[in-house]
Amino acid sequence: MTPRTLTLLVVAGLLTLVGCGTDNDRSPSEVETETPAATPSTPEATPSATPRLEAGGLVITVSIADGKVRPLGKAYDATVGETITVDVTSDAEDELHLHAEPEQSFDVTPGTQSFRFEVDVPGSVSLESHDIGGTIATIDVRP
Amino acid sequence: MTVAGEALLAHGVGGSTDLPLPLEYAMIGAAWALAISFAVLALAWRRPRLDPSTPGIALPLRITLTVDSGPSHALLGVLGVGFTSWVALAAFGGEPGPTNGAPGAFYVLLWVGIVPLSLLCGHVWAYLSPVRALHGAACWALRRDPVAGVWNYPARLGYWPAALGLLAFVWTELASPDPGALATVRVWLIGYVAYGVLGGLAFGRRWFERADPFDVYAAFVSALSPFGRRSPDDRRIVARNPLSNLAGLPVDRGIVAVVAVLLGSTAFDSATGTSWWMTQVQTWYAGSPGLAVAYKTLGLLAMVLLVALVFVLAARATGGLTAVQRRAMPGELAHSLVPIVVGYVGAHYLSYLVEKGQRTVIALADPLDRGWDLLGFGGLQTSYWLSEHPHVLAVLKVGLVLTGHVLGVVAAHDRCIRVLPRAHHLTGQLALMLVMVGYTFLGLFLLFAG
Repeated sequence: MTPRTLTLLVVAGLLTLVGCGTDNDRSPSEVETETPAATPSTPEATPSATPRLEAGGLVITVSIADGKVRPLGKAYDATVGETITVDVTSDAEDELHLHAEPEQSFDVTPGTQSFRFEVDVPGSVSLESHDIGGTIATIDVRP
Repeated sequence: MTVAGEALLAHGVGGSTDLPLPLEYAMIGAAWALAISFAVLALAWRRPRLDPSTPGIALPLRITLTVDSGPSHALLGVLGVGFTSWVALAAFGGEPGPTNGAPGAFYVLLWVGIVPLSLLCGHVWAYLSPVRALHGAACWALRRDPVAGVWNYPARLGYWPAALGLLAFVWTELASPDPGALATVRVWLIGYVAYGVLGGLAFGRRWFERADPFDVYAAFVSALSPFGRRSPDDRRIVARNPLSNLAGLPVDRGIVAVVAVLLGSTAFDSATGTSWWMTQVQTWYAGSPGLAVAYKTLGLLAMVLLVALVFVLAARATGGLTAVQRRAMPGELAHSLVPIVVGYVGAHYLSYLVEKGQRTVIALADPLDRGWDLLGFGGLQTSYWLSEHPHVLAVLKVGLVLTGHVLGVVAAHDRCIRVLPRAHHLTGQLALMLVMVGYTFLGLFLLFAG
């Protein structure tokens, strides 16, 4: 086998890949919805300032209690421009970081609150708790 | 909503990562890797063809004279030192946060950018390297010969100092508490300049060729470039088959450690993105910064050791050699991992280099946050074209992994038929080829699952 045959083989391999890519218009991935957090809200919890968006959109429920954050590393799917809501129940102050383009950050106060955002650039975006330290969720945002 | 300040940023520069590779892409890539590997084993040439001493096609003499002239060395050195100083302005005087370009210059432009630079232009890093340039300037001021140091570089160290330096770098990027902090970049800037210049003064040029982590990385990648010298005596620049250049990569102690750190760390980076790591391992350390560092350090070391161990065992798994010859086999074959490293690192960091690289360059237009825009690109916007076309990105990524794999298998095949006795030509390279297929399967799997 000569280098030329090898090159042909590699090119053939790449062509199969390209072929598999062109007819691949995926339907928007199913949106996973979450039931509200199982942890009861603390008595002094104030009603969230932002009204909960009921129609469509990914909802991620996060609890921060006793220095632990839940869930950890949970995987979600979303699409570009979809409104993503994060409902947070916390017993401490924290800061949530969304590693997206551009980076976003949300201040958490004790109580319940909701944050809403959209992701404009496709990619795998992670939501992290800054003070406790931990990746809460990774969201695969597809075009 | 505020803009993130000194956040714990992935890879030190933050932002999102690539969408996982679609399963069918990974499967097709893996199938072709397997098929081509056996095709090489069964059908490829039976006499060694890859020879770094082949004459190659000579480029016009002008090019050699220009590249080797004093003024162009000085110019490239000034460029390297100037750019490093510019980054130091941002690292020491800029505001922390996403508008600071120093972490990106370090983790993206230097660490990832060095790969395409060396692949396309050969070992130009030897002239751009700020520490080589500063060392050269120091030697000039002290009227000393830059080639010779005070002592001879201890031959028994080989590439080991560079391998440890590379490990320190990937540890900083992937396992240390806060890779994106400006303090981290400052420590590396000062430490690296001191390490390079003092080491160079002590041991001469050999220090850069064996102990400087970035220089050695650049040299390994540039071995795969199409450009080289005609011979050690005739310094004329020639173009030749990159695999022939690669076969001339100098073998020395620790050569396997260098490639294992590069390959293992990239695999570890993907592994921390898998759901296993995210949902299982993370529960063991979440909430404790110390434990997080400990687990990531262990994971990184385990991955590097695994890559090295499997390679050493496979390279030695051949008959017909004496014990001494067998011990030399991993070093003899280590160069064949360079294309696999380049392909996998290229796939893993492609969008990172293109997109975070743009962001970094834009941020560097104004290092001290005073509204500077010297070169006129401070107002540009990052183009996310690659991220917006995930299928194109996926094809490119699988293509890079596959190309690197094939080149690696071919390089290993050629070296095996050169050094193994005829009766063991086929069986002697089988274990290594299977290991390479294993690396590529693992790499594709991690690009799919990470």
